[in-house]
Amino acid sequence: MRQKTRTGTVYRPVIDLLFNEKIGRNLYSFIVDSGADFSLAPRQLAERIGLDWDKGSKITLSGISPKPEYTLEGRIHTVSALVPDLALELALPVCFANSDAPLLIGREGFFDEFDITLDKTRRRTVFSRKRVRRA
Amino acid sequence: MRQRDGEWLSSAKGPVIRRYRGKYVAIRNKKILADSTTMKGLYSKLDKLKPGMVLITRVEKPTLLVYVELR
Repeated sequence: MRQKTRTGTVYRPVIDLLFNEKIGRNLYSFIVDSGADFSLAPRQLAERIGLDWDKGSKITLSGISPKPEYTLEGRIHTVSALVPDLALELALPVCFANSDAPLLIGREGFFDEFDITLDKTRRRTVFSRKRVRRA
Repeated sequence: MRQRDGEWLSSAKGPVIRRYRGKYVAIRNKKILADSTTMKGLYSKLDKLKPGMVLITRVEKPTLLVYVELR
């Protein structure tokens, strides 16, 4: 996805995931963030897909500021998400922040499934399904 | 449909993008059907419109992104 910034145009790798909601379903465009341990989404998405936010594993989110007042609460839930382009269903651990967080795909549960090539020069992100090794 | 919508947003002209910076948007058939600074607000608008399946994303502000750590 192309985005203008004050320092020029940047291209961010994204992937669309389909979530079944309490009524209907929608696609969500997530930024692929190889530096993030977990995927991130706002609390409202958890509630929209029928999860009880409070029942997830409690976690504290912080940014580059060390100040405690800039931290947020989050809950980690494992959710089912479909990658429509690959017709692949994933069990994905997602941290749902108690805030209007960005939509990010982190490594846990996602990078285990794919070999991912971030080709900045060609502005292309390639997701190759990892082969299952048989004993 | 969904791929076209994602590509459409990515190639949208500056004024379109500027209008939605920092907002969640819902796109269908190359049109932004609803927008809000909060996901709650976006869902509220979608529930009234009942447009069927849409592509939801957030148009980031014009800053370079550095995101969070977990503790």
